[in-house]
Amino acid sequence: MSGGMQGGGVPDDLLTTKGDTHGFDTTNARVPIGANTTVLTADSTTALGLAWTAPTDIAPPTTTKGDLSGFSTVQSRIPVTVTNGHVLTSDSTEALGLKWAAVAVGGATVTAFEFTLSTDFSTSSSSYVDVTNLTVDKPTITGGECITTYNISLQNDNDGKLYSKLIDNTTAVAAGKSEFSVNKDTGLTASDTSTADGETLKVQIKASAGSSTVQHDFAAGGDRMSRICGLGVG
Amino acid sequence: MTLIKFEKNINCANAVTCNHNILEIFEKKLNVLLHLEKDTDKVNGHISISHKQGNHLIFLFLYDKEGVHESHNTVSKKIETVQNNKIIKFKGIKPNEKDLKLWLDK
Repeated sequence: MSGGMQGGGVPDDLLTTKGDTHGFDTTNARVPIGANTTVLTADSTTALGLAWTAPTDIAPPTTTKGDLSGFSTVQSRIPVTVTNGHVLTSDSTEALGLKWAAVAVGGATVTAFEFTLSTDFSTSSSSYVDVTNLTVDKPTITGGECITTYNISLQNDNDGKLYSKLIDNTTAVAAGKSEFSVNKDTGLTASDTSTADGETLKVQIKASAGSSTVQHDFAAGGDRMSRICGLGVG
Repeated sequence: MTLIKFEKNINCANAVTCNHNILEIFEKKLNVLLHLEKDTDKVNGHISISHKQGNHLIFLFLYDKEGVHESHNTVSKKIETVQNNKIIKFKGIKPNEKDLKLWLDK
C-alpha cells in the first residue's frame, strides 16, 4: 500500500509535530500539541473532545502559621490553636472532625511541703502548747492523702518525760499514733497520714517535769533539726 | 487567764539554759511555781519562749481557774483550755510587761 495508509486505519502522516497525539471525531484526527505547561483536558465543546488548557491552580486553604488542611465536603482550613501546648484531637461534632484541645492530664498529683524550725522554742507547760513557728499548710487535693513526717529534737533540764505530737489544727492527725514521749535530750522522727485538706499542721509539746526545749539546730551540726515535711498525693 | 506576751532583746547560746534562767527569775519575783519539778507539784502558770536571737518572744501565762490549763493557739490565735489537775489559781499581784522586762534586765 501507499499514500501513507496502514491497513485500513490511521494515516502515517496524521501526526506531524512533536508532541502531537491521536484523536478521533468521526474519523481519526490529529490532536496537535498544546503550549508548554498546558494540560490535555476533556472538553466536549471542541471537535475532538479535547483541549490543551492551563492547569487550574488549586490554592491551599491554609492562611496562617500552623494552619492545617482538613476536609469535610471540600478542602478547608483547620486554623492553628491560639493556645500553645494544645494537641489536635478528633471530634466528630466538629465540622471538620478535628479540633485543638488541651492535653488530658492523667496520673497522680503530688505536692511536697516542708517547714523547718529556725528558732529554738521552750516551754515549762505541763499541758500541750503549740511550738511557735513550727506550722505548715498541707496542700488541698480532693480525695488526696498527705504523708507527713516530723522530726523534733527535744531537751529537758529535768529528768521528766517530754511529750510531742503532730496536730491537724485542733485534731490529732492520728490519735494514739502521733503522740510520743521521750527522755531528756532526745530526738524523734514520726510519720503519719491525713487527708490533703489544706489544714495547718503544727507540733505541740509538754513536759511532765522541768521544761521542754525544741531545738532547731542541735550543737550547730544541724543533724537534729525540727521540721515538718511531707507529700500530698491525690 | 492572764497572758503577758512581749519581745525582749536577748541573745542566748543555749535555749535550755536561757529558759531555765528566765523561769527562775519569774518564779522568784512572782513567788509562784511555773513548772513542775516533781510529780506532786502544782503550778500557777507557765512560760513559753521563742528564742530568736536578739528578739526573744516571751509568753507568761498565769492561770485564773483551778484545774484549767490555758495556752495560745498559734493557728487560730485564740486561747485554748484543757483540764489539768496540776493547775492552781494564781492569786498574787499580776505583773505587767514593764515589770517583766525590768526583772530580766537586772
